[in-house]
Amino acid sequence: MAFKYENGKVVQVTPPHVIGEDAEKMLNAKPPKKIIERVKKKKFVVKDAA
Amino acid sequence: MSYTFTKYSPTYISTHKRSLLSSVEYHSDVAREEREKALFSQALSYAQNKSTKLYSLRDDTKQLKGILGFIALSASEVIIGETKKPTVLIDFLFVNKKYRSKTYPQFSDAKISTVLLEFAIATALEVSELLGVSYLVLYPEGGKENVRLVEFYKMIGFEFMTKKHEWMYLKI
Repeated sequence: MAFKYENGKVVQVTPPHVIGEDAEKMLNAKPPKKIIERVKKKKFVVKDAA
Repeated sequence: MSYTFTKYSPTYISTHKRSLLSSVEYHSDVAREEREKALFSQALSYAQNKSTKLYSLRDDTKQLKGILGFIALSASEVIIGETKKPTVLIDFLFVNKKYRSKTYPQFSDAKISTVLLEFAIATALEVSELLGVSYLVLYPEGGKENVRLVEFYKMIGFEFMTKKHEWMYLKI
């Protein structure tokens, strides 16, 4: 979500600045093979709303 | 493939906002219904005025009637250390109340939310070839307290970006 619901209001949220160990972990992360392979085999049909 | 995604232009959304809002069923609890409608309304505003793209999912076999769910995606970036990395952001993900928490044979025994996420991953993969997108990111609705939802995203392959356990990412 790019926003959340808080105290009866919708509030915009933005991704954090990732630093230190978290940054290292994220930069060295590997794609989850199983789902990526599954998705690559699929062809998603997209039509424009008319 | 027994399902189709529909992409909504800003013009379409501006003229059909009400019908889109009423095209799905919401949670039966009044407070949660209000929350879901407010978030959906915000997603429609983003898709109408900003770079967010809105898509819906339908079942081509017609066994499941109407719109099954929506997903809104936008191009964004995350700053990791000193580096800005292009990302695809899931602004909004919604499953019609009628079709939540169930799996369907026409979707290879997957939930509607899984199909929506697979579409987001496919879009991020497509964009990654053009723009070097490395991550698909999202903010779980309800935050880390929404344990069931967080576990579902983890099962797909998402991980928390920081120790604060708020935003999640999936490496593309």
